Amino acid sequence: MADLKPAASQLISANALWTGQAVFLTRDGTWSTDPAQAALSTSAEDSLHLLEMAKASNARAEVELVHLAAATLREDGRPWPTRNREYIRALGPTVRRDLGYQAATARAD
Amino acid sequence: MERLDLRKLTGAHLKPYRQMDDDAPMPEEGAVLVSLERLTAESETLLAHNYPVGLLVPGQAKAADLAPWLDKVALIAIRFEKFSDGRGFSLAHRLRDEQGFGGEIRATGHLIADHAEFLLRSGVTSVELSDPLAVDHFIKRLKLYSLWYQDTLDARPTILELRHGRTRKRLAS
Amino acid sequence: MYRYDDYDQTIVRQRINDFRDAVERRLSGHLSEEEFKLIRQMNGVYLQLHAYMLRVAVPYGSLDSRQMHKLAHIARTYDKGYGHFTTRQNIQYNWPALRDMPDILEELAAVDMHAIQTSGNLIRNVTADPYAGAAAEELADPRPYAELIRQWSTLHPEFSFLPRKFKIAVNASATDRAAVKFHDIGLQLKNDPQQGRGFSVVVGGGMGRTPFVGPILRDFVPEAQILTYLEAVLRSYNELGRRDNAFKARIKILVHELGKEAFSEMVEQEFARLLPTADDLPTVELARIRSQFITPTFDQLPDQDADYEQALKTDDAFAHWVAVNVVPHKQPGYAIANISLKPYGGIPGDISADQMDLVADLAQTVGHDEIRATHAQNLVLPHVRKRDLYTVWQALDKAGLATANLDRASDIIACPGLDYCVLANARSIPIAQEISKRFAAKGREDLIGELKIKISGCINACGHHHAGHIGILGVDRKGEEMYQLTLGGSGAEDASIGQITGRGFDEAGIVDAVDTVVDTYLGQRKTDETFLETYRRLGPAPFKEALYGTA
Ligand code: HEM
Ligand code: SF4
Repeated sequence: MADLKPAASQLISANALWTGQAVFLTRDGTWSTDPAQAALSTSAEDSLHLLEMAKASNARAEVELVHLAAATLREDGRPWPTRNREYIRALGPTVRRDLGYQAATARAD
Repeated sequence: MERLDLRKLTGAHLKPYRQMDDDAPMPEEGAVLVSLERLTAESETLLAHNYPVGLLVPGQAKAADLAPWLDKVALIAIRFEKFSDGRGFSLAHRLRDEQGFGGEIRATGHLIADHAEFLLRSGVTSVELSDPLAVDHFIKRLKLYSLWYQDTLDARPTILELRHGRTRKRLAS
Repeated sequence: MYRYDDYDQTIVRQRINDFRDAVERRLSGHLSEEEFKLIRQMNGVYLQLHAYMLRVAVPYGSLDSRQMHKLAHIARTYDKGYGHFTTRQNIQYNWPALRDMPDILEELAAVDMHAIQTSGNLIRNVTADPYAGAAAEELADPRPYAELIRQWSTLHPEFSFLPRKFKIAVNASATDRAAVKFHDIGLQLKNDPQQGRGFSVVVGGGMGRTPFVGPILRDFVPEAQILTYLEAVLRSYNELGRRDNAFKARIKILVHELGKEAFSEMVEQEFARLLPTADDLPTVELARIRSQFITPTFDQLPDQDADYEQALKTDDAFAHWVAVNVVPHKQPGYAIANISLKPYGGIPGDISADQMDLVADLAQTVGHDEIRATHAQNLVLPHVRKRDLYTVWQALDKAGLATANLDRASDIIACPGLDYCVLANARSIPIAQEISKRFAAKGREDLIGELKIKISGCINACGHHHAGHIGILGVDRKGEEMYQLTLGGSGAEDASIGQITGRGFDEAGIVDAVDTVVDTYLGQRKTDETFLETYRRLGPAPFKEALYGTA
């Protein structure tokens, strides 16, 4: 996977060190397991600023594999990753709809 | 910089060595570490000093190239450029096993506690570490392991020796 | 089966405590992410897309029922109720949390298992023929050698920070079921009229970005000297392997760049230096290990069993499974039963905790307590009395484990791909599922015969696509998952690397393409010719024409 350059319309993702779960950086610098709660960057500078917060969290040994992910706003105005890989991270394996974050929604359906 | 003797688990008795750049003037006193290039070029003056001279080499150095100096230097320091680069282990092994070097081998550079036991069993006798906490981590590791399978270069018994109640050939002779 | 003594146990326990300590050092910030990554990997812990992954070693693919029950227990307690058998005879859990890892390792240690060296740049889990101890034509059981190498390579002081990972396989039959020519070192057991038992040593095979069928570096190394020879190879590699580029760091590149002769000369020089002081303790140890691998006390049976013959006549589905999945055993009245982990449309290699328990129970009751994992991501009950085969099959069938497709089109090897893997370019599992469904629906697997389809989700080639009769490689083309097709590879004794057919296909297109290739084969083959034989006779041209037209 090639690392993205900071740009507008990105979110920051990582894996929680203690559990390994995919997590997404919110505007206040905390991590959420829901990409819809993530901060969507407004510019390259904004992405850099978010990345700095994420790296500080990595330095505090809270998360690993900090990286940028391309995203857009969904119809409900919430951010959502666009690339395959991040899309799958946001949901869970496409071959096991009963596992990962998608499992909760699948049950609710 | 802290020093630790991997067998005695203390560094109090170990001499500090000053790392000398190739063009730096030699100090009046104190032990120094020089590169192979400098030692080769200035051996007469360097070895005429009455303070200890050690050889500082990177992990990829060839043991055979160091052979002419092994009975002249006080210590060999092997520098680990990166913690994941394991060439220094093979160099230490060769210095002991191929060249018969019996003096101190000190590891320096990017070391982590996870190296500790491996260094000792490859023939390294001491390490130079950045801080006291790192020393604690090294000591903890060294105390953790009491057994190993391989015939390695320290005289401690291997599992095969313990299992079969025999001493390995190398030590017996 | 090999049982740990107190020494083996102590090593594993000490390593667990050490791993606990490393986790603490990471949490308190004394290990950087990069440093911790290498250390956790040495202990079998990866970080994937959704969670950590723990790869548990199944040395030389051998398990007993106690161990299999434990794997089921771990899947239930710490994971999501399943595990995934890999192409290196290991099992992976896809969802464990780091905080549970030391406890899982303790559970494993209780049944003589561990995750040591299932990842990282060191000597990995040693693999061997899954039919070891049962195969009719084997020279000797390869597992004692593999166990000797496991011990020698475990926490090796000098070879734990190699340029790249290092994989060793041992095979002892004329048929290569361990893919020795695709390993960093492949050991093929042989008898020499003068020197007795020893190995021909393949060095520098591998898959990945630059696949190589490994050359034979030495035609014969006596068994008493094998660890010394391995030491000479490993030391040469540790000193000279490239460390500037991870893609060029495997020993295959070193052997290729230096040339086999030059590399061999260096190894010979080091080997000659080591031999005079080499100890005979490993030979003594080999005898001890061997005494633990004594073949089970087989019943003295006639080779034919009336009830079994009767069941074959009356139950077609059973007879079909026997014809496809059961192979001859060296002991009269016994058979080797392959358990497919490739149900039609299923996920290759996945197995639920309940299924694990069932396999364990079968092994315990009617299988001399032995189970094997294969590099094709299947399981084996290596010692089953023919008279028990019907009961075994019925139990497997009820649990969805009786798919009769060994080495058939739907017995597909697939890596986890983009559904789990951080490095993936494309998904592999859904492609395997669609191809499997397609062939199942057409009901012509038996007509096609032996066909090995292998799928990787990126060029690292964990799914062995280079060695597939039909290989599929996932690539990313501007955010789209695309698939390249290769034909004519083989991972067996006639090893070869598949050739790319031409431009790639999308998700639906690749399934059609495989179908087209198979149709072409069926149209062109001579009587009894396998796919690979037909391809080797005709070359790629007719297949390319069928795929892309003659334009
Ligand atoms: C999901 C996490 C995994 C990661 C991150 C991973 C990573 C890699 C990488 C980077 C390579 C290339 C190494 C090289 O050429 O130097 C590789 C090769 C390989 N992996 Fe994996 N892998 C994973 C899962 C698997 C699985 C599930 C299997 C078995 C089904 C597997 C079996 C292999 C094999 C057989 C090779 C080829 C070895 C060779 O090049 O000789 N890996 N893997
Ligand atoms: S081949 Fe690539 S995608 Fe598949 S498991 Fe290996 S690294 Fe991951």
